Amino acid sequence: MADEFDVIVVGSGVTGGWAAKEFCEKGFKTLVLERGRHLDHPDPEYTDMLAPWEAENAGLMPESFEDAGRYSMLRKKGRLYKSQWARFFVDDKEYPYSFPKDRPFMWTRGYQLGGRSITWGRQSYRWSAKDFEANAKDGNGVPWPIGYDDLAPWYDYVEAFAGISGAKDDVETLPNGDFLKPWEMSCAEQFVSDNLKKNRPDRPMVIGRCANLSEVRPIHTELGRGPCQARNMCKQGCSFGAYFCSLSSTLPAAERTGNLTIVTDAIVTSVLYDDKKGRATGVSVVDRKTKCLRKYKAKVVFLCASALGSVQVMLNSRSDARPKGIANSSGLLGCYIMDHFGGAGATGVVPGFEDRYSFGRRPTGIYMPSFRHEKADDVDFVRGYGYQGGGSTRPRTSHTGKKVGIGAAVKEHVGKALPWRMRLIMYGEMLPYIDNRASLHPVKTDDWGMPLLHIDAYGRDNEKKMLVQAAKDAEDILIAGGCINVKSSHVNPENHIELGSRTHEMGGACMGSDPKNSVLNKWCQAHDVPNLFVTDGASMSSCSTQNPSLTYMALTARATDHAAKLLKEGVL
Amino acid sequence: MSDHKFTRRIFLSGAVVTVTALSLTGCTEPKTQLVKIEQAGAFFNPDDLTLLNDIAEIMIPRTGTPGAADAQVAAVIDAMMMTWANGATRDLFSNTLQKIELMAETLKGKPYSSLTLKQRQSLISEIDVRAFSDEVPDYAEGYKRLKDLIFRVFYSSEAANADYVPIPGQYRGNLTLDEYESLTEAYSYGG
Ligand SMILES: Cc1cc2nc3c(=O)[nH]c(=O)nc-3n(C[C@H](O)[C@H](O)[C@H](O)COP(=O)(O)OP(=O)(O)OC[C@H]3O[C@@H](n4cnc5c(N)ncnc54)[C@H](O)[C@@H]3O)c2cc1C
Ligand code: SF4
Repeated sequence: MADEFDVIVVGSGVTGGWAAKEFCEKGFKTLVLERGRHLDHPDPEYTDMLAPWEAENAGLMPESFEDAGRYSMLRKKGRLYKSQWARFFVDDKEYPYSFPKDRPFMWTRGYQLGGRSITWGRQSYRWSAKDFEANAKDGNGVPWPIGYDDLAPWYDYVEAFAGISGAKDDVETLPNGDFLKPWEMSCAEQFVSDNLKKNRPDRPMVIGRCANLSEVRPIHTELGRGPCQARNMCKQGCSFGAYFCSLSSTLPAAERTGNLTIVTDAIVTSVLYDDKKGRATGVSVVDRKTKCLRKYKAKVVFLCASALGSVQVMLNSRSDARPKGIANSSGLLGCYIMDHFGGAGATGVVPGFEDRYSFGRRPTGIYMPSFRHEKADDVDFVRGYGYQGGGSTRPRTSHTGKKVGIGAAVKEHVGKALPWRMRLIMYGEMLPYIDNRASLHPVKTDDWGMPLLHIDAYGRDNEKKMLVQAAKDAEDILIAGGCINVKSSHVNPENHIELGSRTHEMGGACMGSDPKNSVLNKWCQAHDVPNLFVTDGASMSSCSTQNPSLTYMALTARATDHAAKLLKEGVL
Repeated sequence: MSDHKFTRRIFLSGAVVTVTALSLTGCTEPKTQLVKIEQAGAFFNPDDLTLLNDIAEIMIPRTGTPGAADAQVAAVIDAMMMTWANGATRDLFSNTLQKIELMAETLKGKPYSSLTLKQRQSLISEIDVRAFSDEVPDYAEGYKRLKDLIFRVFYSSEAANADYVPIPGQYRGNLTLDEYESLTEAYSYGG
């Protein structure tokens, strides 16, 4: 006998948490199915209260992991392969996926209650009208069926609850909200930002907006969330609940309504479908621990398993009548896989301020939104890139562990204040390419019998050209900002442009107005299956340059509102 | 599947594999100022620990601030041989210690433990310069990796981070030295 609910939400990360909160608050019996293990908030697995010297193996991961080929992609990500937080990331040996040998794709996942809402960088930027107009304007991908105005009230709504700090900046391409107080810029960042205002007013540098409570409002304290302590330990779990995370924010809000059921260790393998009614009826699950199969039924199914996770479930929801998966009459399920790409940037020294210092570890950097929405004569590509980075902390001399030199004199030289520095790294907007594609592996399956996801997606000509220009622009910006000793660099554009390093994977079930060329309508609702919604990154028709999670939150809240109305009207 | 379970054990119940670092103590030889450690570690024998502790202290000596021996670097590395290192690294580090013993004989004509502090400092300095030179002696890889780990463990130790501020409570980006120091003093472990 299948358990029955109003709504099933697949996944408990950023988007699943939001769907659960919204449906529960509207009075619907909601089941959240999460493939990973249960976590509490705060959880004994959090390591944020450990001092650096208490970290397991001084932050190093056991060498035996590398020998056994474990965490191969996380290891490639470098800074993320640390003992303090690796537990919140997926080991690709345990949960493999597939890609062409010469075109690797870096899929960074978090399978646990809360998903990647524990480890994300919390950079939170609204997209602007130009982002939603881009596909229609230059003819790439599927035109967005919504514009900024459709999402604006939902941005307001999710920002208020999540708690986004930021300044009211006067930048058309970076719309403002009712932000919590902004973090302070360092003297070096302020200097560069002020110089840009004078010398390059078209390239503004603002303080990063992030989902860490720079101040608390009643909507936060009533859930037990406290103010951010400027520790920048967020990837280790935040015992203060000062970070926006499903565990500290949306799931407790859902829980207090009494309408929430969470089942962890429940791997959703497919959406159940009634061919006669043309409706989803629930989902199939394989238990992660026992490998037993189960079914759950509901009136509405929300897929929030992360862009590629949801696409995998949809492709696997196949039958003789639907060999290409559910909601795939267009044949475009799995197409248009995108991510922001990196590989270019610049650094420079900020002169002066030798007598100025910083205190605390600010959980955000600076932000430079894309200034290349309109194609300019000096370049032969469309769209653009933004930059993140900054110079929040006064650099110090480091030790000689990897260099020649030992003894007292060398030791005395460690930790001396150096000149302030600035760093910019690019976040490029890649185009939506129809044949950047995720599909099911024809033969390989994981330990639970689920076909592996095969991801074949990479940057092409437009992205190669951007890489080179992004390095030049970064250099110009730092020089215009008053930096000296500016050095820019970019990776060889002729090499494979690997996606996934920015962990902003999008697309695969794009929204559009025409069921023939898109999977979802403007409500993130499947054209073919009215009670199936996909509100994570899979729904995105283009990828912009801004970090996407805030937009996923707004889309999810808007879609739940729509679905709730349809449920109340008896349409679903 | 069995190695997957091992992962979970390491991550999910750190206690299973936590090897508590020993607190190394020993007697200082008056002539050589070598601290002789008499206790075996989880991996290294007392002679290895004596050598490792001494090399680490020569690399990062106690000055006005704590040194590698104060930070128990050798004991932490000994524990990490069980919780972090693979077989190849264990062998490499053991061999590297043996090679340093041999270098003492070759370059200074005496066993390491008979050398004066000055001679030992000069020996390790020479080994350090050679390891990073184009000459690439056979101990270079092992020495460089061991040195890297000694520095890493020391600079993340409590002894080396007296001004670490666990909970700053705020971020300020434009402070005078006085303002910075008084905030650090007020919020750090030392304060
Ligand atoms: C290091 C890092 C830094 C980042 N920084 C930023 C940033 O600064 N700003 C930003 O906007 N974004 C950032 N991101 C991206 C951000 O984490 C994601 O965009 C966001 O988490 C997506 O939300 P989601 O709900 O779609 O997916 P997730 O948060 O990944 O949640 C998906 C959940 O679904 C579960 N799941 C998957 N498949 C199944 C299945 N078959 N059955 C049941 N459950 C399933 C997973 O276990 C997981 O819990 C960052 C990511 C990382 C890793
Ligand atoms: S920086 Fe703020 S949000 Fe991040 S862990 Fe610390 S207190 Fe929590």
